[in-house]
Amino acid sequence: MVALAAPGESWHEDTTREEVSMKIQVDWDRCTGMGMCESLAPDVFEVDDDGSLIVHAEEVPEGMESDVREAVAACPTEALSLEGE
Amino acid sequence: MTHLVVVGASLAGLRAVEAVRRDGFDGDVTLVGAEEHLPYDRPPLSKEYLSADECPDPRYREEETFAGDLDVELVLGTPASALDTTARTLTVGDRTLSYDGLVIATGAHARVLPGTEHLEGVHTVRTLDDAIALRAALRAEHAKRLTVVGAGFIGSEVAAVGRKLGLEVTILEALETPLARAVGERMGRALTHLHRRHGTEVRTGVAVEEVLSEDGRVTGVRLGDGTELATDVLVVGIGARPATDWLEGSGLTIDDGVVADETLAAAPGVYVAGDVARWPNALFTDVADGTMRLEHWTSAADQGGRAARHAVDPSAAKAYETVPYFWSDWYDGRVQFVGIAAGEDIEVVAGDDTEGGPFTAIYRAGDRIVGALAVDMPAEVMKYRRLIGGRKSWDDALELAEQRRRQRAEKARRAAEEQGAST
Ligand code: SF4
Repeated sequence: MVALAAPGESWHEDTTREEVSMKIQVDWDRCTGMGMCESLAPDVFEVDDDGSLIVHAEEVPEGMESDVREAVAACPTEALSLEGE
Repeated sequence: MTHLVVVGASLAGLRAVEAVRRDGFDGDVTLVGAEEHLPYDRPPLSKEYLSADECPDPRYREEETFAGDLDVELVLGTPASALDTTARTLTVGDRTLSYDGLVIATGAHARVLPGTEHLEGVHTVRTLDDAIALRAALRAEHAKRLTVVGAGFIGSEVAAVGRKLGLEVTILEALETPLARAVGERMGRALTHLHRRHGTEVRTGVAVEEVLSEDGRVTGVRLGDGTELATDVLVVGIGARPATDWLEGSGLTIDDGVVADETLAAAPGVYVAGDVARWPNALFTDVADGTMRLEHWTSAADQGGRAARHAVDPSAAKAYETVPYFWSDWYDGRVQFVGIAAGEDIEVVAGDDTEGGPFTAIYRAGDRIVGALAVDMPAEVMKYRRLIGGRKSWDDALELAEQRRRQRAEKARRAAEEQGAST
């Protein structure tokens, strides 16, 4: 696996890997409140009325790994990343 | 599968090479780009890149990343000129590249007003070089008046930048309602209010008869009714044409883009992505006919990764469906659209569209919600995007709208209470 500054789209459902807790990191300087993340993982991400992002979970909740990975990959400004992958 | 070639070094092309490397593909990867530049981010080029005093660096990655982590050979500065899908070869300048899998992501070219290409002061906004030139033109001391031909999203963004920089701005639009195709008539009118509110003049239903010039520099335009309009800078924002000329004779089907199947395959081993790709989006084939071609950032990113994965392993190719999404920054606000603007009904579910926002509107086709538009209501569209992607009913959408209304009211009530308590 090649480590990249920002991953490409992840669409395959590989939730079978060893469960390690993954922390969700937001680069607040980059996030522009686009909300792509919310449309893919609404339980974790939500854009507030003023356009700022609310992250509802510090760690990726169980069973949501692939949704959150998709959200990370889909962010237009590459503001999201996962730690502990 | 040993050699993946990706033609087109913009967002879709970049995501293509990153996706396969991320999956552990260990064959050779070549990325071919017509421009000299490393892949760069296009959306800012008609926004911050023009308006910010300090010009942001739009490149996605450093050169070392390609040579190092990604292990991708870059072939930049020369466009691909021919494709042979039988021999599986690609011509780039005087080189012939053999491929096992190919991703075509050559994007689109800005349409121009014929005969004005070499006039000083006439600009399009598509490439980084375009943006560098326009940035300088808008900031030049003699630049007082900006005229934008075409009230589409790019033209509108540039107009907004012009106002921000203190220029007098006029938008000329051939259609009676700007953006009617993108967002529908009523919403097109609603968006036009945004311009007027910010002091941009919008003239609709006008034809540009002639571009006037003196000593090789633009001085104005003459309209269909004979009116002459003086200008210092003329920006042409009349859309883009998919970059498919080089594919003539390749045997691929070209019809306003490269036509592909639902897995983005245009021929055995050949997949398409980004602005150049036309494919049947299964999510909407029941409500809108035929295929679609999107010029959106998000679909380019998405399709790039998928096309490349399919190209290196066609046996695992899956149908690609998506809810289109685009955003556009006008003045201090944000316009966001998800889905498609087809359909018979548009309902404003929040705010007021008669003054240009803030508001949210949803689009209905048959019994489904198929689209949502928001102006300066950033919390709304993505909630509808999920409904659209899940093929949810119109009633579900109305229910969500009602729920959002209650949530906003509750929030406003609490905010008022807090304010009351603190005074
Ligand atoms: S998609 Fe990216 S930019 Fe948009 S809200 Fe999420 S993190 Fe922020």
